[in-house]
Amino acid sequence: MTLLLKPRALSGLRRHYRDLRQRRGAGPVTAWLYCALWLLGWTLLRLEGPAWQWLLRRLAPTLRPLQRRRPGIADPLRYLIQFLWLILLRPRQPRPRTAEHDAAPPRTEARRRHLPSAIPIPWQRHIAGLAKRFDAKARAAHSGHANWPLWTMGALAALMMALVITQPFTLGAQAIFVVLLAGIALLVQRIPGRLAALTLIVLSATVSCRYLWWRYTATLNWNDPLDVTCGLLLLGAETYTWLILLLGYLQTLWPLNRPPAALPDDTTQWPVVDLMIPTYDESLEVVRPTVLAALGIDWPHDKLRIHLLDDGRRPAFREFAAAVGVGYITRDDHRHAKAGNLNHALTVTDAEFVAVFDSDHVPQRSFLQMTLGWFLRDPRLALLQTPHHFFSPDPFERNLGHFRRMPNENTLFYGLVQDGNDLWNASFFCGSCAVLRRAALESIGGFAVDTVTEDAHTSLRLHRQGFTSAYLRLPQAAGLATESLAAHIGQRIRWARGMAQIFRLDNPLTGPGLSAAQRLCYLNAMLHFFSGVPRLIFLTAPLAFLLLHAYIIYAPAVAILLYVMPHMLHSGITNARLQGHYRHSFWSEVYEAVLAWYIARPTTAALLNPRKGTFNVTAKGGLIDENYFDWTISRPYLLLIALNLAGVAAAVWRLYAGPTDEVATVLVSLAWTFYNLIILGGAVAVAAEARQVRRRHRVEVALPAAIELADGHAYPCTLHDYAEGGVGLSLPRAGLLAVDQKVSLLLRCDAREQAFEARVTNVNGARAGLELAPMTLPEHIDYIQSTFSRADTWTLWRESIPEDRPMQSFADILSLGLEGYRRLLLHAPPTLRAPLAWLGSFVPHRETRRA
Amino acid sequence: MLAGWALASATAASAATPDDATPPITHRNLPLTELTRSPIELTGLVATQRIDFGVRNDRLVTGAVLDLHYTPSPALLDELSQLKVYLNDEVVGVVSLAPDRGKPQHARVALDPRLIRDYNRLRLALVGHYKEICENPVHTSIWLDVGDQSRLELTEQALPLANALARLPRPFFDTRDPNPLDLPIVLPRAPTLGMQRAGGIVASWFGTLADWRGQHFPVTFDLPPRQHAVVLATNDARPDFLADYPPVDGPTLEIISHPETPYAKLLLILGRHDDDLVEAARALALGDVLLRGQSAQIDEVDPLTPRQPYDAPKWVPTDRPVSLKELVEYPGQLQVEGEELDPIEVNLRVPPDLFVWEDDLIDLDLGYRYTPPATEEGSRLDVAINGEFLRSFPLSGEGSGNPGSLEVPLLQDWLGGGRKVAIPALRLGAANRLSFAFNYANRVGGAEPDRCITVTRVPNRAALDTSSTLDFSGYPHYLRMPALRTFATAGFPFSRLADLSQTLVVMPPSPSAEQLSSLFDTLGRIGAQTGYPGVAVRLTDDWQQARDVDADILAFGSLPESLETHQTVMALGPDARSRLRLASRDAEIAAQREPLDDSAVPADRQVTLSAHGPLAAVLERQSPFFEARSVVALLAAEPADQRLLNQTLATPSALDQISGSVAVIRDSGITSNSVGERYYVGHLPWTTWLWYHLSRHPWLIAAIAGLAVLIVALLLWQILRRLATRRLSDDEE
Repeated sequence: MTLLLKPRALSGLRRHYRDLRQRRGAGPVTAWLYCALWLLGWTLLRLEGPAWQWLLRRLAPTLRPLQRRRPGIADPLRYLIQFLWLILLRPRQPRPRTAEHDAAPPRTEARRRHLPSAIPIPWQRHIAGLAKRFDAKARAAHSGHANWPLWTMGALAALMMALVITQPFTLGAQAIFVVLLAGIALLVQRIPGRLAALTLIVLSATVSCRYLWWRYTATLNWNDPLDVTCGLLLLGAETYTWLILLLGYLQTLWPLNRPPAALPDDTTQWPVVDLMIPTYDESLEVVRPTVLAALGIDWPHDKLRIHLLDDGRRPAFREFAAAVGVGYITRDDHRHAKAGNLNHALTVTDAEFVAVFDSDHVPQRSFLQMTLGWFLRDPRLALLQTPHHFFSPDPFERNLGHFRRMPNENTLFYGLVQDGNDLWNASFFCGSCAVLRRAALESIGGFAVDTVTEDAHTSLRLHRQGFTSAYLRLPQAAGLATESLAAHIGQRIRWARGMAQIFRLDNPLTGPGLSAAQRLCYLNAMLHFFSGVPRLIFLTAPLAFLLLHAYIIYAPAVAILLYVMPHMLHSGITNARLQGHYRHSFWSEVYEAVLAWYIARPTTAALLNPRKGTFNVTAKGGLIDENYFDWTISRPYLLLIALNLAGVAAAVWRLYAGPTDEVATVLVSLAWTFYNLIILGGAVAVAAEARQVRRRHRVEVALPAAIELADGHAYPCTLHDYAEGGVGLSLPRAGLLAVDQKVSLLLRCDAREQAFEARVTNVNGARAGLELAPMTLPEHIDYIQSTFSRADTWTLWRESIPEDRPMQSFADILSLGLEGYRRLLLHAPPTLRAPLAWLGSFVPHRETRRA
Repeated sequence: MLAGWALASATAASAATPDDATPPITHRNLPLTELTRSPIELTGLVATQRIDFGVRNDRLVTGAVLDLHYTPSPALLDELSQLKVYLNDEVVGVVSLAPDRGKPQHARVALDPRLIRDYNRLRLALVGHYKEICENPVHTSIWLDVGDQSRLELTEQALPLANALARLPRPFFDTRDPNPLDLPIVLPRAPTLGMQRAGGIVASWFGTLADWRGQHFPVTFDLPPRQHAVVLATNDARPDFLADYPPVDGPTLEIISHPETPYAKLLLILGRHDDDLVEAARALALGDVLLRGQSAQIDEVDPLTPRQPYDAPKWVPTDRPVSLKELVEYPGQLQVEGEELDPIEVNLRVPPDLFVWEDDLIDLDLGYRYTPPATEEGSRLDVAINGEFLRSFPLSGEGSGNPGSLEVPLLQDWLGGGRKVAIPALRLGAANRLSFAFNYANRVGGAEPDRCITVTRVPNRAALDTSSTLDFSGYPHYLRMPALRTFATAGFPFSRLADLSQTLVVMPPSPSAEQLSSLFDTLGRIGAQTGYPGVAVRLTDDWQQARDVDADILAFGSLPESLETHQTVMALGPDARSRLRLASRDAEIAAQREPLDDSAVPADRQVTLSAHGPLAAVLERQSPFFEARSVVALLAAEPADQRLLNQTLATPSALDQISGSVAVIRDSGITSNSVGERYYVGHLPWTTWLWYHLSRHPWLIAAIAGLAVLIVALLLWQILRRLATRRLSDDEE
């Protein structure tokens, strides 16, 4: 060796070897192999050249996890996979944080105000401006009248559609056709405006109808009982998703974007409102901010009656209610849970309007002024719903760590679906953050008590009576999301069961009083919860071929691709366009997959016997003490994963041993199985519960604030998070504060400044944590006003969420799936972990790992 | 080739003596290779060869000799090698292969006639050895070649038969006789239309029986030659030899002996008048299971339900999937046994007018079972259609297979005769043969020298699942005419109703014996193609009558001048004049391409000439009286022409050459051409019509899709905009 190498290189090699052996603990064989490769690399490649150096520098961060490992014999393969990963998939750029939104300057109008407000702040001016703009638009649209050529064209177009949907093609012709339509879609997708969106919707609906037509007419093999059984199951599931897709399009054809309506200038004309906060077993800490925020609502003092409806009949609540001066209503029984509670409260109150807030939904001060205008404008309006906004992460967000970086699960519903429903006069009551007209409620006998989802059922009954509903897509309250996946699933089971009950007991398709569009919107709301069984079918469908050799789609693999790909592509493009702000592509699959197993049974049971089943209160405000893996919850996913892995094994075997004309079919099934595995991995990832330490949820913001030290000096700073009992600050410079120092926190609230006594609990450079001193009631209300109840906080939050990018979203799902398997591994029993960990170590790492 | 009657090939001329007392003796020479339909070579692997032959019920074999020409391999050992001859599983002779191996040899093996039954199986088995010990039983040096000249010589004596109707159709037709049916029909001179019709029904019935054998019905007005024959007579009109026969008082069937010999029988179909005769013929065709005794009088024949279109027994049903069980012609057809398995064959006919898109595939849902092969490598099931290889499936150790569906192309294109096709496809109209060959790769004996392995060879078995199905349902019946091939191979359009209830036969006013024979042959052939006697066929000799009958017309002789225009494709005039219009090959092929194009194929030349020598033609054109009806005319002017026509149409290979709108028959062969007006029969749903036409225009459909989507989107936009405005305005509702 000395003959071949210069002494310097040789010493380098020796150093390298020693380093590997001693510092990084490699075995002699591994170390030798490494050295050989190192030598080979230096000999054959110009690693000292600028291009290589640049590449190595770029790769260095992603290689660190690998370099931290104890070197193993298979590491070169790991490095190779890592390189390929980086070359094939561009590393994710860190998402831009949208602090500029959060840092919006506070209102300039300077008026000092006492608590509680007797003279409300005129939100109307803002509202009137918005409304005027809409009216102008509306009148412009009114000028055109329906004319018969349009209807003739419509009939003609319907015939053409029928032709397009049913026209059979040879594979070649179908390929051309598909490419042309995809071209149209991609072209239209770039055009802004609602017409382009509608075009995309119609195109996608057409392509999906064509797919389903083809599935029904050309892909069933009636000769083989197994084939036809599995095939019909899959076809049923596909028909279900097709129906949901079309109904979803109908719902979201035209989100109404309803602006708030102005109230009369004369506040004496404003109506009286009963604000009801039903509670059962939530703790006082959860309820307190809600009540305090309600007290701070800008509404004439004599016209707002706040009631705490305590079904738990707890003395502490009675005392609290008395202390803050709100009504306290209890009843003797617990019949019909929340609906019964509200119904009882209706009997002892008498205001014209009823606002309902769940005990954890903190209303904003503008809530009533924003919502009641429409009731005055439309005497038939019975219900106005506002979104539920959550300032704590839901289990998905917490466990996947994408809180506020991606729309959460219910954003789609409150951002788009309800708004779209509003066009059809079909927005429905969601149990909280809504105002109802007492007269309307009384005409249907109060809140519906027949089902466990009293909210949707109540609004269905209102609609049947000819009342209208409205939806205001401005978050006017915020609350806590469910804590754990188990709780989330429990909540969804309740909704699913309730919807299934309504479907059976008071089916929206039949019965009096509803328009066709309302029936369809309600139908979708209910059908949506039947997704369990179809989803399970999709998660296992390719196995029917791989394991049982049943041709579930009886057509050549190429034909399947030529029909199913456009169906998926067009619905993907269209949904990305429609829902881009509210849900990112492919996430629905994960959400559905997580719930599928759990809602399949209750919905089926409720369909069969709607009167069975109990009400389970959604648990909120809980704590998760440590990271853990919810094995119980994830058991069905593990079973599905095992099945799909068996499918992969079967596919490999079929590729090796099966007939050659089946190769394409096997490959398609294999791709589908892998997709299922990714989705299931995502579901598993959710089941690994992340720790939730703080009892009080911290809300991340970026608000200008100031601190005043004991010596009277005041410094501007930025409030970057707050909770009920404390805040986090960014100081202009480090060393300003010391732990245990007493300071005053100055917060702006409607252009007046409010001071709160606080104590510094921790300092970390320019960041500091403050614990607030015990506050008096007015102070407490003020604190809530200047934090949770700020009028625009939640609206701005939503706008800060980035737009959907389908490919990026797919990459996210892919890495989420892998993450799921990694977590599975981390929590797996040790005997299982070692071999799996070894396999898992080949999985490449992402460049930017989440914090 | 055309002149030779197919039936002559296997039978030597009979040598009947005129003396009634001594039964006539026949000598039959059956070449072995014709019985097996393939050359015979015995090897170590295939050491036996089966040869099946049948003997007619009215014959007794008095002597049988196997005349064997063969060449054994020179490598065979003297003492051990021999050729064994079995007759019906009894050894009847052993030929020692001792001297002069390697050279052609000759041996005559007398077969004991007492062993011969109706169906007989002759078996040749080679016991071949090339080594005393340690030999490879499938060594290539073990072989024996049986020469083409080898034959089976049978001496048959006619048996006196009882006059029993119960034996019908014997002796007139015997299923053991593989030769074409040759059955004279005796009529009185100048037979009436009713008689012709009755004769047609009888011929049609015999046609259904003769099936693949072919049939010919020579017509005489006198006593037939000394052979079995059918005689039609009414009380008023009788052939001369029956003049003294007592009159009957109703439709009557009777069997009597030939006046000249008791060994030939006559089937008398009698009646008071024509209607009785037709009734008797229908009774024979529909109710033969009830007949008994020497004579039977018919009281009533009532076809209870009318036949439905396309319900011919020999056509596969097109309203539902058909299982192989329904296509079975004889028991055990779907299974085979032996060391080397013969292919399992299934015959099927598809109605010729199914509307099939270019690449339409029929699902064959196939299931099969087999004894697991000793070695999986190379063992396979080969599926072939009409002799063309389609697909093969490996035979695994499982012992059963269900490859799901096997897609079988269905070919309509060939009906026009535009191109020669050699692709594995089911042909519409024609008799198709699906064959399933189970091939076992054998590993016999030791491949290594000096290592003796004794292997017991066991027979293999294989069977198709009777539940395997073919699905022809869902195709519309729609066909562009003229398509003479459908007439030649399936009797279409007449066979659409298998009882010929929508067929009107137009005969010349006073038909000659040849023309009558032509009628009977044609109806017999259609019967063979449908499997159902044409009991509802109607006859006329007046074209004026044809105007009022909504039926397909089958015309014999010539077309009336009223139907002949200058556009007429073919005309045979008096004095050996003939005129013909023809289209170029290119025009024909171009016209064939689009199945939904009904423009006329332009003729590019017209020839008129006079010449001597027989000439006939088959012509198809649209009926001048009804739109979706056809006229098929079998044109022949002189008796010689008529004979040429009859002979040609009785030759299966000639039928294959008839296609298009006109087939010109000369003694040198047949020339077919597609020329002139075209039309459609059947019904095509308009959706299919539209889909078919648009299926080749994805660009157009994409444009339509884009346009429709845009229109709908615009409309939605308008409507929704108004709706949104209303929702947000003050004056809602």
